[in-house]
Amino acid sequence: MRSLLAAALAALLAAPGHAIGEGDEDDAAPGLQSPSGLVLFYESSGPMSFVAMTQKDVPAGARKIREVRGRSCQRGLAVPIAANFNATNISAYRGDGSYAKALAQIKKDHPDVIGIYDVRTDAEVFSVLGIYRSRCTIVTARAFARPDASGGPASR
Amino acid sequence: MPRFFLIPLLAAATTACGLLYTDVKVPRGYRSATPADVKTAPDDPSVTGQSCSRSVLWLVAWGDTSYDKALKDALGTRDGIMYDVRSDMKVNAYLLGLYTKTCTLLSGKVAKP
Repeated sequence: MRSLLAAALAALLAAPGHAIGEGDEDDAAPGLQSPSGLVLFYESSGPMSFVAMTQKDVPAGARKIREVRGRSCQRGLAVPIAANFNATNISAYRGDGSYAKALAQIKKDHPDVIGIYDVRTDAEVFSVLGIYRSRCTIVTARAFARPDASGGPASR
Repeated sequence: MPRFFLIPLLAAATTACGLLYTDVKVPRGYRSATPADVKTAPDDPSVTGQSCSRSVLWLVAWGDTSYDKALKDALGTRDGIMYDVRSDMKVNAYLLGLYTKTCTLLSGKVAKP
């Protein structure tokens, strides 16, 4: 029993690297970091759902941009309080890994963008010894912007 | 002593990642287009793409199984929008998962942007 408990605790040390995302189901799947051990503080935002546009939603005459990318991250630190597998840890989590922040970054990099479509969202999971972990949301998409002042639509 | 090995083994088996080091990208969502969303043509090419990550000895995991990489693999040098997209996941695991390869597979057609 103690072995199983220790295994469960050790498993929590590793960052979950499997795909948990949005499907066709109605249940939302938030992408927050899983807390472990004794949580000192938890101040994170994560992605939940994003119904993105497709090409047919692009306004006529809009200028198309081939690819834009936004990234937002949550980070966590979990320090074991003893050097064995049975030990729990003290942890703290912070960061804004939300879609909102990733989209804000796109807007910052491309101030002329008014919308994105053909959107892919991925998660980047990084962990070293389960002590430091980060989980980033990456939004990659095509974008559209207001037409150039010079006239017709163009793509770059 | 056997318990010493059993614990990390059980732990790793439940997480699909590396206990010592993990640096992977995993797919989360892809709002792909339907034929009604894009300008289709009868000669739109069918394409497939994949992106993969690996883990060894349950200790280290690395790679990129993101939708973005699979899409770029499928499109190659084309500039287009994939539609009618099927996404699948393929896992190869050997010897109780000592070596595991996980891939995201995308297949569909490509319309002009």
